[in-house]
Amino acid sequence: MLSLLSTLQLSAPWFLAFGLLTPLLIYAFLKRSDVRKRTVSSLVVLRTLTKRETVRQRFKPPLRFFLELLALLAVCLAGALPTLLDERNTVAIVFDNSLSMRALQVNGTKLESRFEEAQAAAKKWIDEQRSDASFTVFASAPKLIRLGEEGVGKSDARRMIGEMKASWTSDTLDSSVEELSANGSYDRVLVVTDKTFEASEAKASEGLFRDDRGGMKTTRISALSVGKPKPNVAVSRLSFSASSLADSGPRLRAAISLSSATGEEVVVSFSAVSPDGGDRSLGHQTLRLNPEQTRETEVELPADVDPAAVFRVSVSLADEQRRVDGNALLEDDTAWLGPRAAGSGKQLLLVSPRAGSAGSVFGSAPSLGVVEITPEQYAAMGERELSGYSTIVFHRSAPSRVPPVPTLLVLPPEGNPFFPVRSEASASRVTSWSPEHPITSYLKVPLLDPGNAEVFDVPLWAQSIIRVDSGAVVVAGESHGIRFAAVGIELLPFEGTKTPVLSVLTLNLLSWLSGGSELTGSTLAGSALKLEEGKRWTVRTPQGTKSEIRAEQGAPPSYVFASPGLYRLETTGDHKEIAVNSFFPEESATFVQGVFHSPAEVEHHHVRLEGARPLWPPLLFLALALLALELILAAIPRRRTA
Amino acid sequence: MNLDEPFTPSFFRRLQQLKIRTRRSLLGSRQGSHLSQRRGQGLEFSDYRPYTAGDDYRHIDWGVYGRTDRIYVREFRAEQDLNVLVLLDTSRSMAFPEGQGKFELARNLAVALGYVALSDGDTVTFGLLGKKITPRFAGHKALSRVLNEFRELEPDASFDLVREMRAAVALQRLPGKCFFISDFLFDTDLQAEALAILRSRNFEITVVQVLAPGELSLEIGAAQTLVDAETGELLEVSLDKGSQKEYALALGKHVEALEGYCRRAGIAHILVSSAESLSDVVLTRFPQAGVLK
Repeated sequence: MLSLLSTLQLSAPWFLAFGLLTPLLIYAFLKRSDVRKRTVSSLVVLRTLTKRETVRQRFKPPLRFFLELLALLAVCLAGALPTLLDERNTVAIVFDNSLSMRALQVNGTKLESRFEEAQAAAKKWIDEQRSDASFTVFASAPKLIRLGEEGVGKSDARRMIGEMKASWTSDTLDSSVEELSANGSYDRVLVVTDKTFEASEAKASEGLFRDDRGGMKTTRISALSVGKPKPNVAVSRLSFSASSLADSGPRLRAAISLSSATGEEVVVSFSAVSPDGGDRSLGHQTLRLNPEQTRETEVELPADVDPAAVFRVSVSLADEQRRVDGNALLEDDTAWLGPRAAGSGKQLLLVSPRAGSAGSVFGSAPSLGVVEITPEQYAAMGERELSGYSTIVFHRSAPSRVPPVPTLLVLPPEGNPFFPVRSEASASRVTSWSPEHPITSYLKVPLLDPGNAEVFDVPLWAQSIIRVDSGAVVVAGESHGIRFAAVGIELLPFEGTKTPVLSVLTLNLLSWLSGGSELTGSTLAGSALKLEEGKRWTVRTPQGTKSEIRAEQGAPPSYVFASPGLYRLETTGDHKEIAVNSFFPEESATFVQGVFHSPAEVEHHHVRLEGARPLWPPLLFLALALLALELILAAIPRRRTA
Repeated sequence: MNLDEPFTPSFFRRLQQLKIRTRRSLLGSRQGSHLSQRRGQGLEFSDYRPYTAGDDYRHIDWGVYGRTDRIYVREFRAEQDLNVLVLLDTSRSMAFPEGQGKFELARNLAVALGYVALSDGDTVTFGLLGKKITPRFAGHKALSRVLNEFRELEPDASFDLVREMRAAVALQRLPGKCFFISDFLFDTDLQAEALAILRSRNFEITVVQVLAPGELSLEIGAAQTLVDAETGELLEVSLDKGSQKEYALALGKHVEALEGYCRRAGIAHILVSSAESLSDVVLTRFPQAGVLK
């Protein structure tokens, strides 16, 4: 009965107030039944009769009264426009398979990862659900991906979770949960994660259906949190230092991060790996790190190092005995950097209606050439031509079609199709930012003075990076394998002063957009690389497997670097060495339990109720039938009993 | 029933053949058809008496003179009109039970008795209890005026029976015949008091008790609230099969109480059901009861 009530929706509940007419019905019945209140010529004789009975005892409502009452109630309920929603028990399970879930911990007597613990917890949770529950399983890293079919049973859901693999990337938990809870297709969203769930107030959303199985009124979000805080050391950044571009004294710089409650001594090993497989040690360094500290260290590259060599940096705890307890993740202990020449040959395309916008901002980026054109010139360029650029920057302009390469929009016009401009904010101040995002790394965000800025509406496929009072001024996301970012702040000041903060922001944006490979010689795990069309590409993975890259129909060939390491992509007459790293500081910080935010409930008020069953027609028919029956009963003469 | 409906020309002709019967001589004021105790010059020989100066010569019985050589005049018993008072109960109780014609029959009986009196040379006054006392009607030509009095009459009055009775008899200077037509569902003491007022004016009283079939046998469903038509008093009852017998006994007791009083008081009592037709009651029941001849 309770589940039936939960699927009953009333479009006009105020009509139920007419049920308050019930006392009137009782009064009318009493008045009418005073056909039993009969006038006689005199009570002189009748008074002597001995039997007496009170009216209250006499009030035994006949069948007709109940028929009228039921008819009234049926009409009231019909008027409230009830709809019986198809009873559903649909659950979306969002499984956090990000890098941090690989952290090892001791549970009881066994060593297992958070991921394994989460798999067991999720299966147990599934077993506890009702037999009519249907599950749709999603993985959250590198982006929200549905595993298998929608609406599967318990056993299939358990199997999917069992077959899932942890990734080497960060997750998109906040936006994934928001997306799933907002579309209205699920009764519940369960998040299985090593983060804690901070529930905010219930909110309303516009829910539209993707299927014909009816609508939900509320989606409830809950979480299964696993994992314990575990210390971890990681290589969080690897780059050539600026002097590495000079003819002499190139240096390899590594940033090492420690997430722990206590300080640790770590050993950093530098190596150069030649294309022929030769491994040359470039030295070791010992660092002392305080809790939650990141320190940089570097080595000078020998002059005779192979120009085509890739570089490897590894970190480990100096205390060998603590190498398991003190280092939860091994996957972020090694980082790679592509050949120094990796970034050369690619250019950045700047589209701006204002000539000379490039300034020195992009010039400060190592190995980056800049080509400036006007929007009109851009409109005349073909896709093949555009694909030859590493990144396109639109300054105070926007393309009409999706560019084929990573794109940055600086102060795009209102009405641009990528990042809608919500409003303009004057004298704005930064209120919050996403500290874990690479765009804000090494950026002293509080020093950023947005001034007069554009505020964006954040599309579902993107996230806000830096926010002011009235909304997001820096947003970024990835769509169809291409990264896009928008900035509502002027990055190309040719009238004002250039600030270091803006420069760092610009470099971070460019680095993130290209996956870093074009600027830093490496890319992040989970990122995709678009390849030239018309060529047959094969890939050799860090694990040693070799496979052919097959392009999806209608889409240019691309490859997603799932795991960190060194990849080699080959085609006739060309090859690329791509260094892939898991530089995800928030994932590597396994001693600090992250938080994901979501409303505990999302209400869907505008739901397209395909498949819902309106109840008012049968209720109205019932009311009419009851009244007809009552009229028939009223027409039957009453039997005199005396 | 329309007032005119039962009063067809043939019915009137039959009424003309009837006469109100009285058991004793009643003093009237006009020459009528009823024997009076007064001696005078009526049509019926009463006695001889010696001639005294001034006697009408036409009344000298010359036969007696021839036989006795004495002059005697014939003395006649004076025939005078009968003063008829017809009292009709127009209270609300006469309207119930609805649809059973109780008041209609009572009203028609009053009209019929009035017509009999008028056609017989009597005078008739109608006491419409609770409404009015009509003027005295005389002669059969007064019928149309009589009918007019009754035509719009409705049983909707509410009155004090004793006070109405006093008012009705107050204007009667001479005794006569009184017909009191009612359902007599009054308190027993009250109706005795009312009848006593009539007796005190030396009326020869005939009580015509009209009851409806619904009153003669209990026709009430179980569990009802009964409302007295006159007083508005409520009575909640829950009746069963035994109640019918109980009611019959109670009604019989009430009617017997009236009958007993009437018997002791020398009042004629006739119980009539409104299911009976007017002609049956007037042409058959009344003569059988000695009310009419």
